[in-house]
Amino acid sequence: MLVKLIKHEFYATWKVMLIFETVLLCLGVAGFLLMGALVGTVTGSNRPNNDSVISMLVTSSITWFVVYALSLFAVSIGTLVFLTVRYYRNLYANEGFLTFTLPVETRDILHAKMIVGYIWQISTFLLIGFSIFLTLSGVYWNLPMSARNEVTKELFDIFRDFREFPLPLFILHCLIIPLHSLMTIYFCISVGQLWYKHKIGGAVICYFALRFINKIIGSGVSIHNMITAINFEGNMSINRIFTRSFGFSLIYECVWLIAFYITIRYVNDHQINLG
Amino acid sequence: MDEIIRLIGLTKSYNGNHNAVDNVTLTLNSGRLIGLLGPNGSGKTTLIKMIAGILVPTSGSILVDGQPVGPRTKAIVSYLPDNTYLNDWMRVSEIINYFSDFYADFDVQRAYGMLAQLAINPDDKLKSMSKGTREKVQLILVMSRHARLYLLDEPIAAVDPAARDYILSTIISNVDEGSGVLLSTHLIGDIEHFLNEAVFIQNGRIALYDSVNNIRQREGKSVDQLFREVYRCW
Repeated sequence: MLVKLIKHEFYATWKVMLIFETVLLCLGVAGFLLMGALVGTVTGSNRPNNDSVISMLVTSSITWFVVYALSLFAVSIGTLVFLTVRYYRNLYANEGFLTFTLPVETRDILHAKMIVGYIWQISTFLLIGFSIFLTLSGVYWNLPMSARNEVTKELFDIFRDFREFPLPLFILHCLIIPLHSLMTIYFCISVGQLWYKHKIGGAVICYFALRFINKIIGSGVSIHNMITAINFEGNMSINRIFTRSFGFSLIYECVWLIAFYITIRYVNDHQINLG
Repeated sequence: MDEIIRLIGLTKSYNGNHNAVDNVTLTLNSGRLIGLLGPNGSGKTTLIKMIAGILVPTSGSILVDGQPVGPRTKAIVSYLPDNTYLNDWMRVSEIINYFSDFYADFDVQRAYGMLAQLAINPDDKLKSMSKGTREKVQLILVMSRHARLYLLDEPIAAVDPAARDYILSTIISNVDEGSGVLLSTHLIGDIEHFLNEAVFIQNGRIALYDSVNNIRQREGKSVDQLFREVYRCW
């Protein structure tokens, strides 16, 4: 039954998600072409002599970057909002009358939402990365050869400085973040169901309370990591800070994920209250 | 006749102080069309929701065909809520696929047959339909299952008399022999002739449970008349 639930969850979400993913791809391609053309014009041999034209091109580049960054942000928020609305409507609003009378285990309903939501979150995450990569590629390949060599050298220097960078921890952290943000929302919506009335209000209060707790704990741990990363000679190790903070975040997020999962299961199994 | 529903000390309280269903103990048999009768707010919908599995009882237990409420009971119970629960972005044919995917007892032929009778285009999206047509589609889906138990919550409330006749005839003609129907309503006059048994519910408690024939003989009046007397507002 889980496979069927996943199939129908994909079917219910793919059209909207395809629009989001297409927008991200288009933004990347537009960034590649536009930024490439702008950088090529400003730095190339056919560079315009008129300063006002150059200043206009630079302003256009900055404007594009701002629009671009806002668009990426809007799409990532849009994905989360869409998945949130889908979860709420399909489980706790009118559609829940059908969802919870299907002959399936309630845990499978949650698992299907988690799996499909996570796949969409990850694909959005990857496409945002790809879009940024495309845009930066447009800039890079349109730089004059000397500038390109300089950038390449700088990049190698940065990589050399970060050769002890905890890459596996960083990747794991990146894989957990989308699931954590998804489960945070699912958890808040489910906890909102414990309110007899004002269930959405309850979910919103739960969300802000959770954010508040996370901020306090996160800030405390960051300060602690900074202090303890200073070695006996008084030098601060950046890699040590990264290792500690990614390691802590991983454990912290996993603990929350387990708590979210258990709570949602408890609400769906014992407190379901469709009215 | 097999026992289809057993409720033991069933209670549902909201906010910890108001019992919508109060210590109900009741056994209903299959192969009967049973009316769950009571005024608004008497606990009919709460009772049906708990049997359907979308509301968790505060205390007591429910057995459907000898099983506690869960996936196995949901596989044999066809539930019609008092509101629309379908995704309105879906086409009727997509919803039929959805039902046939999850319910082994769903009869696709029967569903398309009933749609054709009402001239409802399976390719139409629900959001393009009127409220009345959407309710008919929902009824068709629920009655296209060969379920052991049908839970129908106010199926004839807020519809015109012509639609009421269609709904009642659809229910009567599609229930398999040996299946049970628990139908909640406060419009007794329209359904009295179809009912085998009646359960009167008042303030969350069972006020009366008997066969319709026994009630008529004992009281010397129709169930509708008795209902009006029991639940009179003045």
